Amino acid sequence: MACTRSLAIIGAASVWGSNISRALAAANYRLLLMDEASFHQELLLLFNALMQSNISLNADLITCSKEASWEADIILLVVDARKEKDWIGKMKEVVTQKIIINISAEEKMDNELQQLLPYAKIVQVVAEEKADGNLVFKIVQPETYDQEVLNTATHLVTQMNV
Amino acid sequence: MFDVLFSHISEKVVLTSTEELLIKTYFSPKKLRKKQYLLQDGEVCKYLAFVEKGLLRYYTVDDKGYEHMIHFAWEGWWIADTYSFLSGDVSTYNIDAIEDAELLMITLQGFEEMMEKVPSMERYFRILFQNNIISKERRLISSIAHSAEERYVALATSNPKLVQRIPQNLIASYLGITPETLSRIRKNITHKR
Repeated sequence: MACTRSLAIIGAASVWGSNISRALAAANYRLLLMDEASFHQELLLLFNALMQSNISLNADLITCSKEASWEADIILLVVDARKEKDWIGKMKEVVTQKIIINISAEEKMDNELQQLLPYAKIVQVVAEEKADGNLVFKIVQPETYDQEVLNTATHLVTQMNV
Repeated sequence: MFDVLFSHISEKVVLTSTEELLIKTYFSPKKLRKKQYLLQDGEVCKYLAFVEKGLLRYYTVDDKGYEHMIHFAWEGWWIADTYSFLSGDVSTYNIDAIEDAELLMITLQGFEEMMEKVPSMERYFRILFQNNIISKERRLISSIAHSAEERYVALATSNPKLVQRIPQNLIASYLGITPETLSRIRKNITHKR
């Protein structure tokens, strides 16, 4: 039996964050839903909706990016890292050697984020909104990652695309 | 976050500040809540973990569902299924948190790279492995030659605070006796005093 991995979703109350949280609630993860305190009401609504649709879901609400990342095995960043430098700064000392899936609308590598978090394994994922409103996620430049990181990220992205 | 680790290392080897900074880059800090698993029977042990805070147990579960405690790890201790960690074979053991814990975890690749780049760490782990062999031999001799009461007294004398932190049923399992027997032993000791 494998341990349940903890996933921190940073920016869970956003539209993309909520969609990703819903998709991953069906997979076997412990979800750490994180967003700032001013979005607590939205986060609570999301949490309640997820718990109603899946009573066995293992999830928690967190309003600190450091606490969420510290507890997580993998981190999903659904915020603009350039605008949320305060969050990124707080996360820095607890994300060493952890996989961070950085989700953005642009299909390019985020070198700035890698500089801010030099010892994290950052995987760039692009989100594309289809005509029917569904989101499709794709790993940017998959050939640049080591095999274990790529396997984990691919598995996660597949679950996000369901 | 690294205070306990560096304090533990400094008891055995001397590190420069540059080496300390380098060592930090290999460890993944991880919080584990009470009852959460670090390792489950049937998976490969991918991390060697150092306990900065909290208490964990390392145990196996037999065919009848009984848990057998192998050892405990608290502040300043390392924990892993060493065989699974080094060989990549699946583990038959479990590790979970008895108390909320803060860990520093390193992969085998990171472990080997760190020892290559910081030779003092190789010496540090050699000392740890030596101590571990000695302690396992002592435990084996104790389980063969000493009574349950003698084993409990030895444990309570060497780790008085730990005996207070760990639930009695887990201590009984660690000593290879039933909780009822442990309760009797504790009563006997109190009466003797």
